Amino acid sequence: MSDSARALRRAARIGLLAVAVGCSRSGDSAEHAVGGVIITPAIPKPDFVLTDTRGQPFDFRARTRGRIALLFFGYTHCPDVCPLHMANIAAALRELSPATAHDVSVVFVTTDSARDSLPRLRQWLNGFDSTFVGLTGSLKRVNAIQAKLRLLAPAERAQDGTGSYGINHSAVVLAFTRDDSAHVIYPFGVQRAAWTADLQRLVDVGPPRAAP
Amino acid sequence: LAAFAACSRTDATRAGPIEIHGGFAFAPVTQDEAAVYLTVVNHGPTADTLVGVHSADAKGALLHEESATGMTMLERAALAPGDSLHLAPGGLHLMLTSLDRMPRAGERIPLTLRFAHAGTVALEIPVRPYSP
Repeated sequence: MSDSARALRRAARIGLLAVAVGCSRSGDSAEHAVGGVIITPAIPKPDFVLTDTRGQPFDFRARTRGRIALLFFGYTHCPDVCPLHMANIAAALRELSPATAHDVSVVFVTTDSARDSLPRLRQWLNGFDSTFVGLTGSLKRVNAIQAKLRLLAPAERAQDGTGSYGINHSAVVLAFTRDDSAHVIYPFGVQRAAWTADLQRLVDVGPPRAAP
Repeated sequence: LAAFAACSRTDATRAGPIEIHGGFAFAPVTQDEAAVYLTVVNHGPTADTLVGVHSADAKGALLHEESATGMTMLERAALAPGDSLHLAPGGLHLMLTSLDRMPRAGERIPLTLRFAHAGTVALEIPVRPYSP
């Protein structure tokens, strides 16, 4: 199976619904090669206001305008997918010039507001990059945003029998470009080098086009 | 292939026909959870089952699967003869909960796996940074 087919299968498995996906590798010119998966049609940037880790309202559209915005839904007790995505993005940003990195805004929305207090969310994100924005809101509001983005909405808590629990969340990172649309999504498993190359490209050139 | 599979890896731990190799954990950012990844191979002619996980450094240890429906706890994992169980990021992992101390990169986490037939296997899992 090709890399892109594997990425597609994974994107499907992790809950991206009803999105036609263009092939991002074969047939693309080098300039258009991306580590993520190109989606068609693009997803419009959602308009929402949630609370940031300082307790202040954060208007996602307004605050990320003119920049690349990476949006991810997860929770801090998640031991596998969430920290790996955050760590890979943080490492990629450190490889970019400060000016390029400054053009990328990383926004993490918790799907577990019951356990993710503002200080906890801040502390966890600081473990990766202190510039990452952490947002919280009611599960209903967060689910509504995920639904609008055509991402799998988290279902009920998945009890694991120890009093601890997991929370369903989509494992994809959406990359919104300056045109206020996400043309590329990043399923779990995208490596740091691919992130670095893609972020540089999204900042410098803009979104890739899906192969016809 | 069979010959290759029968070779023991340098980092392998054996308990009878059960071999465990490639174990690692990422240094977590909180003491609440840490994910451990490894591969278990059953070289024997009969099936075995992973029935329990324990770490002296953590209050809880579970086999977890990250999937479309979120995280699922698995009670046990069967290993057919010649089969292997591959725990890797984005799929299966052992989740340690409520760690006694913060595991740092370069340290090792003690781990015990219990199998229905092969018995108990103790090993030490190296801790890696997320970004080397």
